[in-house]
Order: sequence, then structure tokens, then C-alpha cells
Amino acid sequence: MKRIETALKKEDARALREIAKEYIYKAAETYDKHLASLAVIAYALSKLVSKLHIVKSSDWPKYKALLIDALEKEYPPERIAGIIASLDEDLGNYVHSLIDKARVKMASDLYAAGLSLRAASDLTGASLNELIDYVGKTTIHDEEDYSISMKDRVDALRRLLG
Amino acid sequence: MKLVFDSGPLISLSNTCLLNVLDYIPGEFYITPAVYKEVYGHPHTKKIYAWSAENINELIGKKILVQTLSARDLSLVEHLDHVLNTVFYSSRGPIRILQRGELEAVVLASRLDKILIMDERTLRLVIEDPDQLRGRLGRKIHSWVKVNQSRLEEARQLIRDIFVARSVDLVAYAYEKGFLHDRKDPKAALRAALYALKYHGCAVSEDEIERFLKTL
Repeated sequence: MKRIETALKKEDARALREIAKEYIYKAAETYDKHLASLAVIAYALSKLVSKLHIVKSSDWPKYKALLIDALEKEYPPERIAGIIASLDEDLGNYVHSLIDKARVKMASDLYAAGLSLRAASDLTGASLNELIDYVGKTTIHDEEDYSISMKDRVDALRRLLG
Repeated sequence: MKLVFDSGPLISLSNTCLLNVLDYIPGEFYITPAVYKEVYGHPHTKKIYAWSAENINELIGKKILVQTLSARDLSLVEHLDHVLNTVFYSSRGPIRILQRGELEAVVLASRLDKILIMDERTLRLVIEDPDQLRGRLGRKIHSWVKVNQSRLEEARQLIRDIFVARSVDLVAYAYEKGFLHDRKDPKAALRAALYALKYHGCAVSEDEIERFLKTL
């Protein structure tokens, strides 16, 4: 949490994104839900500090102090996520919560790495529906080298189903 | 024939208003209780997904049956869980890549006619191209990833006869049976439907779709 705290103090979105990336892949390696939650928080914070309407808001210093305090005291990730959620509710412009979006983004990185959608959703807490929808809008599936062509699969279906 | 559906294809077909493709597929359609929870149980409580969930729920009990797993099935799920989740490993130990939900669908398919309709690619890659999956895992987690060959062989033995098709494959098959032929331009409609499924999560590449369309 110390690294996240330092990056947040500097409002360094890039550093927060790098931490998120590092943590999420480490979480994949050992199926570590705690680390995955920290990755989600780091990613959500990176989005927060890169939004001008948030960091320029008069409420931001109050929330920033709250978040730094929570990170310093190593609160459970769900509690820190709760603070981000209230900030998002107060200052955000979207129906969809920032934490939910961060969960889906981290889960899609896990899916891109090779975990199943369910494993990715389970590790991050992302909704399966949102994740399915999200990955469809990425290029993840265009990067796959397919060993069986679509024509072959349809031919196989024809053989099986008539 | 009895086709077992994973959550992904039902969600994608519902989100793209293509659930009526099932009218063109001969056979019976099954899902596990876990899949039912994923396609209806959770999403119908969320306003953003409730409509899609309601559309799927309309078919439950009519076109799609929920099949409970037996004690024997569940013990096979446990076994598959252990085998498939220890195929790939890094210096920190085995990498858990699959969840019980997809394994339950696999076990049900293996008990029925061995046809699994699944849109996501991970399980399919374990069956069809484990090296590609190993390479992907290694590149992303920045660590060496190895395949436990004996586990891989055991996994393949357990699921070797299962044929996996995706929602796009079903739509393409149904097209041959007359699906979308009432449209002004059926081929253009098919193309649009395939892309709609892709953009709603089906693991298919643009290249695959275009190559397929050229064969028509």
C-alpha cells in the first residue's frame, strides 16, 4: 500500500497505472484476491487523479487526505474502495461507478493474460456481464492465432446436428 | 442432440437480440444451475442487464433446461478443477486459470452429447492450443511459464471428445438453415450479426469472420 500512497500523494497517474499492472499480473500468478483488490484501487486512483474536474474540485483535498490516511493505516481494500465510491458519487459524472470500471479493466487484463472470464471476474469482483461486454470492445480476440477455422467449426456442427 | 450452453453465448445472443437463432438449431439445450445464476440470478437484479436477463429467462423451462449435476458429476468437476488448474505453472506454483462454473458446463457436456457452446477462449485454448496459452501467460506475468505435460495429457483425456462451438458458429450454422434469409440482404445481415456477437464478447477475430464470409 505504501507504493500506492506515495504515487497518490504525487497524483502520479502513470505510476499508479504501473502499480496496478504489476499487482494484477502478480495476483494472476498466485490467485491472490487481496493483491487483485489493490490493483483495482491503484487503477481507480490513476483514473481519479487524471480527471481535471476531480483534482480541481474543492472537495478533492478532503478526499485525498482521507485516501492517504486509509492507505497509511492499511485499511482493508474494500474500505478504501468505499471511499473512492463516495468520492465518485459526489464528484463523478457517470452512472457506472469508477470502482466497477476499474474491476472490469483489471479483469480484462487477466483475461488477456489467459485466465478465464470467470476466474478474472472472481479475482477482481467484476460483474461477468460487464466483463463479457467489455472484452468484446477490445482487440483481445483479434490477437488470438486460431487453430480451427470458423468454417471448420460450422462444418463440424453440420456433421453433428445435420 | 443435446447442447450444453455456457453463460457467455446466452448473454451475447440476448444482448444482440439474436436468441431466436435457437429456433434454427435442432436439439435440446441445457445449462447448469451455476450458469442459470450467471445469466439470470445476478443480472436480473441490475437495471442495466435486467432486460437481457429477462429475455433469457423466458426460454428457461421451454427451450433451455436447467440440469442439476449429480454427485458423480460434482466429483468429476473437483477432479477436473485440480487437473486443469495445475497444467500451467510458474516459479510460484500452479496458475489457476479456470473456475468451477466452466468446468461444470464441461462435465455436463461430457455426460450428454459432448457439444459445448462457449464463447470465451481460455478453456478452448487448453483443449486446442495450450502452447499459445502458455506463451500468453508468460508474456503477461513476466515470468517463465511451463506446461506440466502429464497433467495436460490427463486433462486432454478427460475432455478430449468435447466439441466446442461459439455463438458465431451457431449463427453461421443457422444461416445455412434459413436464419436471416427473410432479410433484404441476408449475407449483409449475417455479417452484421457476427460482428455484433464479436463486439458483445464472443472470442472470434475479425480475420476469422472475414475468411468465413468469403466461403459463402
